[in-house]
Amino acid sequence: MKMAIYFVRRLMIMLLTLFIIASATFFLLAATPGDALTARVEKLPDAVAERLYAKYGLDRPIMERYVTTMSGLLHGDFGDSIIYQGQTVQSIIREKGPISARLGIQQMLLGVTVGLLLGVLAAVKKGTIWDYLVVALSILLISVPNLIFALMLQQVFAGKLGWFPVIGWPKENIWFGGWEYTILPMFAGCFGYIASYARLLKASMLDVMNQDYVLTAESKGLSRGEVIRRHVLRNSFIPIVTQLPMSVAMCITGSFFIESVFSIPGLGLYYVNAVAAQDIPIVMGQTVILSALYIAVVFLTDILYTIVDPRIRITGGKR
Amino acid sequence: MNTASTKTFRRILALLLTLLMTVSLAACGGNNDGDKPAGSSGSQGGDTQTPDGGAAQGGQLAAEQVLNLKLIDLKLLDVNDVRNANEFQVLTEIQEGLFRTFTNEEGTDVVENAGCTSYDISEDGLTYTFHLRKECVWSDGVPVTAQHYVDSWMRLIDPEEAFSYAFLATGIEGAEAYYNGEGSAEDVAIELIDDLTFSCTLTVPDAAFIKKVGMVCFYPVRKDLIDAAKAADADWTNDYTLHVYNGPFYISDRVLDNSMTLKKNETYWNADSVTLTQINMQVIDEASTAAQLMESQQLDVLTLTDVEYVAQWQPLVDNGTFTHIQTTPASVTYLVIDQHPAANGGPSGLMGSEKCRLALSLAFDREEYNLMFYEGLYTPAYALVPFGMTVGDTEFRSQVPAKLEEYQANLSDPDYLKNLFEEGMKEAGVSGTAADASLTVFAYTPTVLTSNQLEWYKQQVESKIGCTVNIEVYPDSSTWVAARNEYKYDFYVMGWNGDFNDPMTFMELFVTDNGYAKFMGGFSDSEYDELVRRAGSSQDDAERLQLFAEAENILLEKGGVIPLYYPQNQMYHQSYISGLSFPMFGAEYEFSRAQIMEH
Repeated sequence: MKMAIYFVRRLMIMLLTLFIIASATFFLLAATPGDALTARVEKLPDAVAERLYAKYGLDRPIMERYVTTMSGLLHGDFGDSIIYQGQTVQSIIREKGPISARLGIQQMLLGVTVGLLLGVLAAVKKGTIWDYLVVALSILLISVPNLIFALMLQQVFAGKLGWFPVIGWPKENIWFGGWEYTILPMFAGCFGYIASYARLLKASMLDVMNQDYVLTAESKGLSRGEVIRRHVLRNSFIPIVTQLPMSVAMCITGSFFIESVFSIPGLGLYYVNAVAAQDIPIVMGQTVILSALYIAVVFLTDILYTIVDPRIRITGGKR
Repeated sequence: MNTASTKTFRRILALLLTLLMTVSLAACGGNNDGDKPAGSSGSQGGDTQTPDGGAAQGGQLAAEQVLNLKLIDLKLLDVNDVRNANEFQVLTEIQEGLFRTFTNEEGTDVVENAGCTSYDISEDGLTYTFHLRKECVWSDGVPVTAQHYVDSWMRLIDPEEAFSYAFLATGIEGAEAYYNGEGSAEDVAIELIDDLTFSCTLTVPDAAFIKKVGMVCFYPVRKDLIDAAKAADADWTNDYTLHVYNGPFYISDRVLDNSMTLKKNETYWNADSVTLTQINMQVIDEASTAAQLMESQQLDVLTLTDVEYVAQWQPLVDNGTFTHIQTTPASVTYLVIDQHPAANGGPSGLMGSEKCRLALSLAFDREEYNLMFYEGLYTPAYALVPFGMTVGDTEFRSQVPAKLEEYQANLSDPDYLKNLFEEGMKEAGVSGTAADASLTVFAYTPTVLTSNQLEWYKQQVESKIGCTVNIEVYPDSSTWVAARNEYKYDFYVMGWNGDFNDPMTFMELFVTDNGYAKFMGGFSDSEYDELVRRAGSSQDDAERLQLFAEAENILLEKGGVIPLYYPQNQMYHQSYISGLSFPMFGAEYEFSRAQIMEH
């Protein structure tokens, strides 16, 4: 029962959050000077410009548009793109979502794996040159924008050495085909994961290593390797496990810079272009859908906590 | 050899400002002089063509005839609704209208009959009758008929559609009223005669009309397919699978905002002249990526947006890998001066004075500007109409000296401008000397380049006239537009890309109360208006040229506008490609007769 109440309460909060996000997005866009048609109507006769505004419903008062937009959202209808006629958010996400998702997942798999290995290395070899190397590398990777990495990788490995295509993305078999296209974008985007997961795991491991039960294990005479494997690693994974779903949610939203450099037809690039063009239906739809995804993942994460860490329990009702 | 070409794309030149160019390769504008006559009647040659390509004569054709181009994705495939250069580029290759524009070996536009074999113009210059080519078919096998043209032209001016280029057709009797929602479709003088003939009648003669109707927005459309798509609630505008094609190529694949593939259209009437089998077009956002692809020969043609490559690629041009082509677009960048009656001379109160405006106009050292900001790659402008524009078949600029050059001698007197300006102040009833006057220039979201240019304007005017100049910068275009509509400026930078190959496309911007007056400073002069009106309706090319020349001189003498420069495009293509055209009006790259040579 407690559990059920908790779920319902969380669900309500999620819906409220979504509503606030959608409203804020709508009004922020509405407050921006100009609109999707500004440039187009500049040189049209006034009567013609008015017809154009009427065609897209942009002539109506803002509150009326707000109500129309929100009631559309309720039915999952975000409206047609103003810039690309005939496209809807759903059709765009259906077409571009898998592309960004594959890129993001590949980046994440590589980045998280390498990051965790480096994290272990830094924690185990704490205070040695290895530790400092990993820390320095993390700082470097996190401070250099991935645009720079993307351009450098492209220049060297595609341009000079010619090992990979300069741009492009597999057109057929979008999940498992055309690996050669995905290698450079994958590397360009994995550094952020490497840096953050290496630091996260290192901090967590050091924390666990200072726990009494580790001392106990060591005093029992277990070898260092065994202590790390059996007692430290398992327990240091709690923050990792809770961080992962968040990374998954973020990774499929696409990466503007990398998609732009390698001409990858993904969501990130499209989203940024839609914002720049003030294509309200697309921006609204994409924001709401991605927020919903994100909120759902946060919820999942909370559930995950209770599974990986038995000390955390859901308590319903009053605080 | 014949008629019109038209192309269009006009964008505010702020965009063109980003086309900075490096390196000193003499700016010229000399590669575009003169092209075809505006036919007064009759048919013409250029009827059947074989690919010749110009370059690589005697070379061997490569086994693979695939061209790789950079793409800016199209917002629409609707010919009537065409707006931007990228749409002109693709639609010109997949569809076809009455004419098709190529360039000859000198780089001059050559217009050939395509969808029509000939046309007649009535004695009074009002009625145009077009005779269509009977071999033309759509890719679904349906013949292209006069009905498809009539449907298209009527759709272009349909008030419900609100198409941007409708204004090109409003010279047709009844069209303007219909477009403005005041008349009816029946009263529009576009007439179907038979399957292969249609005609239209103008309100007043317009020698430039034949140059307009070759443009993409006048291409034929298949109303049956548009209606069917509408009935099925499908999106004809943007969904290529719902389209049929009557041009040299068709769209075989498209990834939204990313890539497009064209293949040869075997049903095209002149398919024998088309050698390419496939065109791959890819969106490439980063300038360095595009350069990378050019260097590794994965991209075949590129118009530079990044200056540094002009120098970097010179060795590749010298060793024959790349071919470098400079073209002069129908474009001019100028300063707009606030002459609207409601503005009372702008913030300074002086812009109503002809002498003050002329002094301002002469204060700018255009050569220095070109060297300082465009590496000398552009052409300084001492008049409005750009090089390459023609009246009939006569290149305008070669016949009409640039008026502002005449004044250059006066500038050796260091007080000339100051005195002229102060005379103007006196006439305007403003007391004090030039030092008391203060002008305002404004702009929005400046880049490093445009900020430096603003400082340069200020420095030039302050040092030569002695008045002060305030620079006002707005955070975005909307607030700027609001300020402009409230006349909070004395002058600002603006540019214009011509819509069709006739000086009219520039001259009409400065006619009293024309549709563009609010962007163009609102110059108003009855003599100018009358000259432009007469030039518009005259059918005698020599007379038109004379009238335009007089009108342009008045505009410049009275400081109605301050021309600064004519831009130049830096284009590169792999030297193994022959037969590419780079017309001034038409597609940016006309590649329908291009060939890939063995390499």
